[in-house]
Amino acid sequence: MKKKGIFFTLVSILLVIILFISFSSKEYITQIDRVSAIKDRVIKADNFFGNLDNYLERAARFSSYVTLRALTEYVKYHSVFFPSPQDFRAAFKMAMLTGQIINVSNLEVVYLDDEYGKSIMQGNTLTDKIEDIKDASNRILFLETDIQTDNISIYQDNETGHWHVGVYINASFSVNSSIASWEKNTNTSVELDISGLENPYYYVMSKNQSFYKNEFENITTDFLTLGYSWNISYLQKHIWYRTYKPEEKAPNFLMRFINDTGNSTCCGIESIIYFNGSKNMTYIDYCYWNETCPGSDPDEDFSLYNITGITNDTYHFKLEPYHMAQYNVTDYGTWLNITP
Amino acid sequence: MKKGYVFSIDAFIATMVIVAGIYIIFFATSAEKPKTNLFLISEDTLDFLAGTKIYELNDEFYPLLKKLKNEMNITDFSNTLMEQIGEFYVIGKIELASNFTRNMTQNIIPMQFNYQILVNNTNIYNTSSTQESSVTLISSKTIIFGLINKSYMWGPLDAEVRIWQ
Repeated sequence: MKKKGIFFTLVSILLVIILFISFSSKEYITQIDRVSAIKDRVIKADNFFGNLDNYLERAARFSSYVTLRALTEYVKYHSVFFPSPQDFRAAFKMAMLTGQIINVSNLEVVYLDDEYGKSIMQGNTLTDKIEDIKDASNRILFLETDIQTDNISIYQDNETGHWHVGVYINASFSVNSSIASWEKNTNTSVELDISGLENPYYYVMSKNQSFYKNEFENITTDFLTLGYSWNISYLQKHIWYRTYKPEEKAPNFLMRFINDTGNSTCCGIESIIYFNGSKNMTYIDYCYWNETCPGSDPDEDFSLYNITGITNDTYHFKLEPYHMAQYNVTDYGTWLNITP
Repeated sequence: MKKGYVFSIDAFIATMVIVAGIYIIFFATSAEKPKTNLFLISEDTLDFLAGTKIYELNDEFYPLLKKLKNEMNITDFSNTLMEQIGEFYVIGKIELASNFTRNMTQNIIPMQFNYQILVNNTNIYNTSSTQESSVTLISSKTIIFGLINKSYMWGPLDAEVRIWQ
């Protein structure tokens, strides 16, 4: 009897211990907690593929900006403009993709950075950025990525306006994760703010380094909407800060790479000649060097005016009637009596 | 035989009482057993950081975010949270990246979990140093990149969220 009692007691204690162990707070690995490796991999690759548009957009924006800087340096260094819009667009595309350009003198393909002796394009071409993402996707996510760019073009139009340049890229993506693959073609357009870029036309024509600045943008571009209008004080600041103003009779930013001083209705911009020039010509950049603006044509009767408060012995600032009206300083004009 | 049954039942009941007492004493203050999946938390955290843009957040609920915007430490509001963390890392502001990460994640991950955010294999923020002794650790990765002031493109870098208990 006692032996049976001990036996049953031990059995019951054993049962209790088993029950206790069974329901203690342990982390179980159940079917629910198992990671679906294949599903996770597909989701990861899909997310990455969806984000490639974003990467291309940022890479294009960056490479375009760097390319414009490089082309400006090239124009400055050689003091030559691109022969035509087609040549400029071709040079832009080539530089953006490879960092190279066809030298205008000997028609050889050269690296832009070697031409002007600065490291601007190195590692910053669109091709470099594409290689970076391909390498990263392979290294981090174990994906094979390929991006091909089919067409690149640069433009300015009513959408970009005076202060932006548009770059259009047509590209095809493919991603392979060994269990699934993705492909698509895409068209990407980016707009670059040109503030901070130099004006190649001004530099070459003036033989001095000059900077394009847009500090007075909300006055020079929006003075109508803000209710402001030009006056002598704003003109003085416009000259002092070397800013630009929209002008439909003036060339746009891209036209300045090809020495085209024709008018750009959508995107023309002009600035003031801020150094003391030797010409009897209105002190508006494209007019001054083009020597043709209403009221200041040297072959016609002169119609130039000194501007009181700006023109002085060290700065022979002059304007012709059209621009005097544009800047609202007609009342400050003193007719300049010049014998042709 | 009947006495055996009696003694067995008596022992069973006694043991149950003792076990219940020990359980109450030692586990009464335990946190509630997590019902969520560690993997899902890791993925959700990464999705939140990599998919939420700065401008989508209400500044009123994130005072640090508002402060950073006012101080011009955050200038591109189209950055995602993870991209902003990456930008702080790239420009050398690791402490700012850490504070920003803590502020963004402290209310979205349950307290019983520890987590770490890394960029380019560099620790940005870590709630605990017990990672090595953890039973289960889940890591989720993504690729981040960004543009600073039009003229500098950083990345692509790897960003990682690690969660463990």
